[in-house]
Amino acid sequence: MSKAYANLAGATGFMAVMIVLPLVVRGRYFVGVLTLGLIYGIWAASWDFMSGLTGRENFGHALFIGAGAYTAGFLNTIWMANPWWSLPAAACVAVVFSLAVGIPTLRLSGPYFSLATLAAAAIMQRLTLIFWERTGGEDGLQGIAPLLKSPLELYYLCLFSLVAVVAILLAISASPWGMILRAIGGDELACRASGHNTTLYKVAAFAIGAAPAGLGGALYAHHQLQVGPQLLSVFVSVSVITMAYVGGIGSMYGAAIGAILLTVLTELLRGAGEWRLLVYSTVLVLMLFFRPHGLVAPLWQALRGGSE
Amino acid sequence: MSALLQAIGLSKHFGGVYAIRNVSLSISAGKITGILGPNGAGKTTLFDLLTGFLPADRGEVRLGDTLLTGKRADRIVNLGCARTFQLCRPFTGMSVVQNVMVGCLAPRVRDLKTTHARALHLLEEVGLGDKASLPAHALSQGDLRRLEIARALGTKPLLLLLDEPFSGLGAHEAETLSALIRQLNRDEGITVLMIEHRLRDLMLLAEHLLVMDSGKVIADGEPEAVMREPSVVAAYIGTRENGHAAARDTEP
Repeated sequence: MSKAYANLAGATGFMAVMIVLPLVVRGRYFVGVLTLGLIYGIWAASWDFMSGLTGRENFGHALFIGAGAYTAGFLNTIWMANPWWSLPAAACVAVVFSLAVGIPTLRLSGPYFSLATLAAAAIMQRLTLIFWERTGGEDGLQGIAPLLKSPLELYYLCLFSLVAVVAILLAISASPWGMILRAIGGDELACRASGHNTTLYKVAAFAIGAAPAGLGGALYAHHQLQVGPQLLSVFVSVSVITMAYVGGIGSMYGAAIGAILLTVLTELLRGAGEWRLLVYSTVLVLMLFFRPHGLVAPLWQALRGGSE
Repeated sequence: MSALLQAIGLSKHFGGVYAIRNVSLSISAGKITGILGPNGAGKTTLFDLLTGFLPADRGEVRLGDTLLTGKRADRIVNLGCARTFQLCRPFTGMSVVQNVMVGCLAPRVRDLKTTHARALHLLEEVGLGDKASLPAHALSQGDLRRLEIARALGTKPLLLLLDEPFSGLGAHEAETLSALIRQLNRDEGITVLMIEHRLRDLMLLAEHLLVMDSGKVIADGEPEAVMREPSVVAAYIGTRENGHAAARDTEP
């Protein structure tokens, strides 16, 4: 019970800090960086839900991110839809993509799933360049309308979305459903021998993880007011995976906080100029070497006392 | 005795090698049946075919009146046919009781309100009651075997298939496990089909014995009678040994 209270206190503390932070540290630029951190948080937590729990690594989360962002872009610039339609539409399109990739590949064992996700995102990125007349090619879609009047309002919308997404994913992972997903991660064959259709669970988890990624993509589009093919790149997929690892695999909240920390770290290092990538990479390598289970979630569990 | 599980003409080959060749068998309800045979005889492959973990090339399997052939492995479990593995396969990263809960959550028997209580009860039954909250990877080999059995029992099987349950166990651990298997069979009416290398343990438990060699069933009957058959003695124990003398030895 005390752990539940500790978790509640931790969540409240996190919320308080995130609500106050942009008010204390003023400046459009800083709010923009934090908003980006929150969006990456949604992506990392949603990646962690499927891949962290079931252990089947998705190397193409950028596919759902990009699908969501381009959905928002098309809706907004071509069909001139109300920007709020972007959010549900982006989530739905991402789910459709996840089913198209997941149903044929998640029944297979071995590396096919990881390879297929990697390839799917790369193909989609290529397609945005091939059909440049519609997608804007390298330049992407420009002139997307903002969702809300001020950047600060968008920041709070992203904060609310992140908290809601993490809360929902955590609730599912704590349910019997989540227990079966963790069992698949522990030993898939033994999970099947316990009477569970593991393929169905994996496909469903993949779709559930894709929806927030698409939603985050739409938030990103309305944050940057443009979408480009770099959003579908391997770099985005790998960044998201890195953030989840830094946070602690399978914890969701760790992935979200890891994403915020790494986004802010990247920005802080901007002053280091050419040294930035070197410092960033060194920090990551040292961390993964000495703390292979990540930083955020293990640290929190140690503070609170005991895991789970 | 009516047949609970029946296989007719099962065959399976990998490349050019037959792992299982035209095997037919009939497992009586309520009995403990043992499968004996040297390494590579096809025992585990037979288990995989019976439980749907591998598709058979030919032949069919029935549980009662239900055709199992062509069904997914998880469907077969939900029809009442649960198995354990030769190498223990616990869910790493989960506690002992959570491991068993996953079995209790099998769709046919799922009852969300009682899942935790049922899992704890099963752990008591197999003698792991005091280890329920430990992480699964902290268990000894003998405890892992019992955990696997508790997880399989979570699915409320009519037929329990055990793949070398005694391998890697000390004499004392093997004895308590024997007692558990007998108790499950006698008190709960669970039919048991078990592969075992350790002759002595198997001879004490089994009421019926199948002997396999090179993918075929070479003997089928009462354990005492089967062990006297010359073909069994030749295949399993070796031609120079006397059947009775060797039967008392335990394989290392």
